[in-house]
Amino acid sequence: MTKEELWKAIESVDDDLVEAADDRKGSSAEKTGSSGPASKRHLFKPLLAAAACVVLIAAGWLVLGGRRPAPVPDFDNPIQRTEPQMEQGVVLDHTPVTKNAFYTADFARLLLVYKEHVYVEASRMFRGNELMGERLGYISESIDEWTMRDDFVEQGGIVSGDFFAVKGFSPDLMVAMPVRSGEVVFLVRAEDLILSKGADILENILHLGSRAEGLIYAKGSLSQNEPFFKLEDSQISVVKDLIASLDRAAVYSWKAFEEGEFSGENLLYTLYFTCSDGMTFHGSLYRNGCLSLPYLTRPVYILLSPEEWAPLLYLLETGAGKACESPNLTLSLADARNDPVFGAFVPESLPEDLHLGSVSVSYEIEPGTGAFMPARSMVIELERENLQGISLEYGYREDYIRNIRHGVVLQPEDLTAEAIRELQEKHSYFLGLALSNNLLVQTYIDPEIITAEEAYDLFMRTIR
Amino acid sequence: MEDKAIIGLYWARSEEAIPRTEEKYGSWCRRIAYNILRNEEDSEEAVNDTYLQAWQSIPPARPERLKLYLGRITRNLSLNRLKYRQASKRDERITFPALDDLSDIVSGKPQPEGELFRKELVQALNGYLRNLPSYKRNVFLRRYWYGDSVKTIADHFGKKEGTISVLLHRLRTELARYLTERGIDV
Repeated sequence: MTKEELWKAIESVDDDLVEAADDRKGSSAEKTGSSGPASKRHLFKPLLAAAACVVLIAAGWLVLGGRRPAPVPDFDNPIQRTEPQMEQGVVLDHTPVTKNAFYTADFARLLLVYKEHVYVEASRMFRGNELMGERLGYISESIDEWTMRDDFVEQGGIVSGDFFAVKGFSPDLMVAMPVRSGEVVFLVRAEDLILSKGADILENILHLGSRAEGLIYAKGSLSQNEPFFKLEDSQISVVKDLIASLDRAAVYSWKAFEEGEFSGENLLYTLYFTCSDGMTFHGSLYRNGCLSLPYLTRPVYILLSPEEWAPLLYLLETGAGKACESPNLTLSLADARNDPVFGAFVPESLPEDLHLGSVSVSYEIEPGTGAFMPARSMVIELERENLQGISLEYGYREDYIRNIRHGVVLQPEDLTAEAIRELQEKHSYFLGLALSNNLLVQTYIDPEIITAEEAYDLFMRTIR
Repeated sequence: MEDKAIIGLYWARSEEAIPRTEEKYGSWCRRIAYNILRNEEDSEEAVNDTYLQAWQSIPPARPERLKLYLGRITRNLSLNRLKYRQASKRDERITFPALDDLSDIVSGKPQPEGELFRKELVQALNGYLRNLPSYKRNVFLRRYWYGDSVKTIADHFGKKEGTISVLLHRLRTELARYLTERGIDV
């Protein structure tokens, strides 16, 4: 292929991706590492008092063994329910997945087609193989599973490989698939469904009521890089009560609301309901009191009253949660050290001013069982203040030989800081180090990013 | 003016379509052209050619997104103009770094022409991009769709140029691997 051919093909990628990349607002949300917009705490001040009232009334009710308190009047809080303009209930019918459909963004998630139904990624986890049941079939990442009459256009998120039933779930509603990153993805059926109450999704499909054991949350949207918090075990009853009320709550389509109600600035919290078996289910809480779930082929919203959200919002707003890691999967350095292929070459410790950015591993998946085969490549990204770009990339030599086009491979006995400095002066951008006959670790040695001494130190930590 | 109205002008063969297009998307097209050509005069010509091609192709075309329709024309025409300048040796120093980046991962051997191959390649590119986190995807597209310089991208995302260079290199490498794994010979 020529570079011009590739350049021209890139020209034809989906419109929504191209448009999203041209967000000229320069929002802090897009700038990774920034802390996002200024705190929105002031928005919640009126809520705190009101929510506190609700909690006090509820507590009083519990202590006195009384009846349910009357709804709190004049509830001035960030949740401002608007009366939906349409009848409740959403029918997600058999959906042609066309290239330019407005909901295309939803398919940034993985999807597959099984028995002519679209299944969309709803959760993923490491060590999820234990939850996989019987093998159901093989998806070829092609249009085959769909009937041509539906004008189905294969989307980027489609996966290929064996897929499996999930223990405790009907394959009519949920299936599982191991993917090369070492995770198992759980996909739920996202169409040919009639949804009138929250339970039609949360209970019938996700079995959330009986399995939820916690909540992880962050303010605003994920792209704002707000920190994550987790509610303590003692606060789980509030989460369970909320799920119970969501199960009873009506479901609406986005058409039932005023335009703009689901815009980014109206997104209050990103929530992750965590389950006892390790699955997490993502939802977004909007100012109008709706919880949206991103697993369906069209946006649907479960609407609760401000009073029903108040106990949970009170906890979130009063800082009841404990700081925690992102629920989005990341491997740790310890995981990297346990890798059966590369683990022996992962540094025991990192230089003082460097910290771990991320670890990613690509696996081969054994056909038939879905088990993960030994790793083939691994990237450990390292960061220091305001700087990304330092990494250790492990791989088999045959995989990596091309990557070293802008650099050279050294044998351990030839590795010195001076040798690296010379390469830097010759504008070698990459340096590979042969760890064994067929294993290579490489890093970027641009002097703007790393000095020769630092690169030497880092490499020496990989040699046993 | 709404896109629909501008497209309506093209369909009505009203010459007013051109100034309305220029008003709304002129600077956007100019940015793409300049990213590729690095020459104001040539960029201006590429943008004018864009309007001409839009005039010739609408109708029968009725683009859903006029902005991207124009952008693609500009991108195409600008690259052709660049190749012409390089081939005619009017200016041998002319390079387009974003395009040259891609030579890292391609063999340089032309593919047999065919719509099917092209379609497969585009689908695979969509697949690759959709599986990327939005930050990385946007960096990739700013470089290889819009042709932005590394500095422009770094400024936009608040990063150092070196960081963006490394990220772009990694994204290209991953893309090559992704395409190869899907049977697309790069």
